[in-house]
Amino acid sequence: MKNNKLPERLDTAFIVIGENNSTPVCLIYVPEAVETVRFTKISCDEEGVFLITEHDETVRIGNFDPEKFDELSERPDFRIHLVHEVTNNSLGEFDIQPVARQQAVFGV
Amino acid sequence: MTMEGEIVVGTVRGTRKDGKHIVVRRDGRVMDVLFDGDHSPLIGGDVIGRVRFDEEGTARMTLKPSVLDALLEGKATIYLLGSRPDLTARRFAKMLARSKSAVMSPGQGASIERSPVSEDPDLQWALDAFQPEAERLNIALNVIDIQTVARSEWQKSSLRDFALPADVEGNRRAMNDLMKLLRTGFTPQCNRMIEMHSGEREISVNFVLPYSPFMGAHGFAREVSRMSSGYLPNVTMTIRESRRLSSARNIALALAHNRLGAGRGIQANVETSPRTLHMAACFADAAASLAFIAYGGRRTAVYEYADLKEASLHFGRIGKTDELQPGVLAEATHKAIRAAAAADMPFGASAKDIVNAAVRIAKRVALPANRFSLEEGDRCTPQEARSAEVIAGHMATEIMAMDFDDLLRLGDGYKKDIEALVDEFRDSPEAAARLLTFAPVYVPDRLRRIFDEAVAELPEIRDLGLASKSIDKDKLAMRIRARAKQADDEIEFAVPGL
Repeated sequence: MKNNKLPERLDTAFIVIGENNSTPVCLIYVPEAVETVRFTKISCDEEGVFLITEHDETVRIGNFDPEKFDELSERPDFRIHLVHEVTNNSLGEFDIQPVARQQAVFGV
Repeated sequence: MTMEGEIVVGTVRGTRKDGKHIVVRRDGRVMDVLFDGDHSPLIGGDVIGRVRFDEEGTARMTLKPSVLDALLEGKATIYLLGSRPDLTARRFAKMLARSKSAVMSPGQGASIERSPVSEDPDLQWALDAFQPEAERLNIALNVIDIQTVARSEWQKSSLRDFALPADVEGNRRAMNDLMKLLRTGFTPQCNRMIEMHSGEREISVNFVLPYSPFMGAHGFAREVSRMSSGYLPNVTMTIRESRRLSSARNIALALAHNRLGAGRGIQANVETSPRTLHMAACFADAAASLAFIAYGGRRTAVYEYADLKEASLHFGRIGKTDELQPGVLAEATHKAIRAAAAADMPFGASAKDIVNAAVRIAKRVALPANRFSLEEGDRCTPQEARSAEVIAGHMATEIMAMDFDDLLRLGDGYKKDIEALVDEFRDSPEAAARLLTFAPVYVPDRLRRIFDEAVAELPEIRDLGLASKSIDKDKLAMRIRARAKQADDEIEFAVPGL
């Protein structure tokens, strides 16, 4: 079932990479209305990077270079960190699995 | 083998008899870790932290609430995403406001480098002096790594990304301020903002631009004392000393709103009036001087700094009147600096003691509010004017009518100063181009040849867009105008070239 609360695009995000190119973390700020949506994967296609919900719905992340995602998603230490836009509280940082672009299948 | 400072994410699977916890990492590797800090992990609980090894080779770790918190403890590179960089930057700034102080510089591409330490020894010295107190007061200092910025090739777009993380307001004020400061020769400043979202005033620091890398000691002396190019500063201060004083002053300024409040927890808006600006300047200069001496700096350099400040009451006059140019009286902090130089501050004093002493000095010696006039211009008293004239005579030599051989001998200090800057920046075409743009502002009259000879060895100049000479020419013209009697057209041709 389509979740009406899902925005088309999440526009607040940044990547933080530690010293010596270690532990890349992508922080994505999530609006209040999406607080209860459970995202499980992150992947990309030619148009860009998107989050995937447990119901295989997608939300794009603005201006996230797919090539940068490809590079990061191959790393075991790459993490996605969802943050509540209003409270700045973490909505979890271990639940979302990066999926290489050719493995992301939707609507099946 | 885990390298020092590596971030570890894992689960505690048990404890050893020696108190170490067995941590299994996500990739299956096992390590024994001693946990520092107030919180110990639970068996079966997830742990995040940065592992460091002590002298005996034991892995030690302090628990962190998230990978990001652990990341921001060390050096990090940040890429802003999202099609609304202003919103992203605002969130990012909110996050940084809760982290520790750091040095910011442009990274590769559109990235930003954030590091808890700077490779610039003078900036790091100033950070070491005040960072503990900033952290105690919960002030995140976003200090701009000026040496890296000077050597970086930035365009307007990358500068926007670089400046925006400091812009909590979500508008372009911080970026515009930073652009303006960089365009006018990297003018040092502590840039603040005030938020009024909850009805309560919340003041925070956007960024600190610690010193201008292109001034040199002579330029610094000229800028502090408002000395025109018809004079040569008589200072023994070195470039490094001037940078340390400037960095310490601007970092200390970032603490002013918290330390000069009317009571505990009450912030002071130090930019509301010339008097509050003066009070903040007294505090910052006293703190910088105390720190400079407490960490082994030359007391003579501090007294020179005080004399230059007092000389500004002479050089900063409007024409030959007793009226002062805007901002001169607010920056007349010589009494605070001398009080700091005379204070009995022990070697290696703590940042808290230094800042407490600076608050006391500022409150004791700052000029009273009735000295600052909002309607008319500020004036110095006859007594102040006489004293400033004497000090200005000590701190500067008028060179317009001087015999040229004598002038060359006297100009040896300036020659060494500009040669040191050329040496420092010859490895970077970008920095060399900026030196050629901004350093001419500080060239004494009749000594242009010394400057031209020194900079002749610099690499080919590149047009960097942002480095506009017109602003500096205006500034120079204003200085000339300030000491001229007649009309502008006379001024334009009044300076003999060499």
